[in-house]
Amino acid sequence: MEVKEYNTCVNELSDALFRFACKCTGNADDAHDVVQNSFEVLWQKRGDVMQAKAKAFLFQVAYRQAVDNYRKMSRFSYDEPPDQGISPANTDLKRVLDKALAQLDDQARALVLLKDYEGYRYEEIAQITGLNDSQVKVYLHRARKVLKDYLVSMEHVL
Amino acid sequence: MITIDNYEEYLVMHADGELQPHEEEALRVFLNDHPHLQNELLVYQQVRMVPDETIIYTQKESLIQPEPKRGIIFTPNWRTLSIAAGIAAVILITVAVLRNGNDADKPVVVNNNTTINTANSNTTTKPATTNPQPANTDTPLLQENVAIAPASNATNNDNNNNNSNTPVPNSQVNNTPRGQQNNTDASRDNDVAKNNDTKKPAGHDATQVTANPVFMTAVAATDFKKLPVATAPANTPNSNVPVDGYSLADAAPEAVKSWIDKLPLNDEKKEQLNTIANAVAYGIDKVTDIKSNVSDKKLTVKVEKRRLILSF
Repeated sequence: MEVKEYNTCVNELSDALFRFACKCTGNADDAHDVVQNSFEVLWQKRGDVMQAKAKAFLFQVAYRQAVDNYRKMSRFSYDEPPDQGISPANTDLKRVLDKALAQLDDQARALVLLKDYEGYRYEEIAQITGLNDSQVKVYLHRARKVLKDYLVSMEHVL
Repeated sequence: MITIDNYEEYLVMHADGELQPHEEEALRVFLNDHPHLQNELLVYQQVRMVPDETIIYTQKESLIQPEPKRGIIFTPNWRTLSIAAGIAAVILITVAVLRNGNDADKPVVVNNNTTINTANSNTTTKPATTNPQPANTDTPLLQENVAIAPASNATNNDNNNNNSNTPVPNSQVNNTPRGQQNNTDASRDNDVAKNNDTKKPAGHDATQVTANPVFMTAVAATDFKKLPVATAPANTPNSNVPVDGYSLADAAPEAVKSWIDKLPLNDEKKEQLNTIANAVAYGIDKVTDIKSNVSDKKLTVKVEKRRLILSF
């Protein structure tokens, strides 16, 4: 990957990576760190990573950093979505989903985000997360069920 | 096979777009058989995260790496270069040939006391009648840019001494028209008197002219038209020169031809030189007509591409 291609990746992928990191970490500062570290690794590995694979590579690095950091530091509790994720356009459904997302563990949350935000298929998510296809399928099924139950319960409350 | 126990898995996969076509068809059939599960399918379809486009990463500049400045790498296109080199060579050769071929266009600077060595060429003066060229056109043999000496310098020969512009003894002065032109009236008369044995008037037999250097000197414009007229002095009874002197028609044409022939030029250039001489002669006539109105002491006459500087 040339420098120009790397800079293109920065311009095209940094926003999506930051949104993913924000949802995974629940903290904008941590999300910045994740993005910085992810692109730093990409820069170091630019000789081995093609531009077409750069997106998956970045999300893989970001996923590992976010999930691993959460597991190691245990400093983060996803009680509230990060501030930057809240906008006036957010609807009630979106707010409920954000709260439902906070109910998930970090791995399930990352899988849901990779699926919904980036539209990866199961096998692609498996490559990013290092899981196999069946694991991705099962984890996502569980996560969807949790989100559905939360949404249904909230509808009963509302 | 979709059953009541595993239908949720298919509902999730349907919401994620992961079902195969035949699985989609099986799910459709299953939902037709269990319509109360349609609402559950709608809920799964709603439980999808939508990215918030308002969240952007504002520190992209810190990630941008400076691109190395690429210098201009010269990748030679040999075919183009060879064509360019060929064109350049043709141009250079053309310029060189033109420069060599246009020597006649170069101004002929005749310095005072310039000597043309004619030792190797015996010139035979032929009767003027053999050359029908009009004398008034061949007389001014001065080439372009011939600086005609001021009259005060050229006519300072009242004491019948040798012309200051002809430092060579008169005995060495050939009777070629150039030699005649380079003398003033007095000195020319003296020259003619001393060399009348080699100068033949019209109608006389041709004689061999001894090889003597030809001196070209500046001639005053006032004397320019008088040059061909060579009158023999009265004290030369044996002179072959007619008493009334040479007429322009008698002396000039042959003289012009011989002088031009002695130049180290090819025939073509000599022909051009003749043309130039005629043009200059024509210009001299014009200048003579208007010189009385000229206040400046120098006058530049441009005839075609030639330039004649006259000093009065």
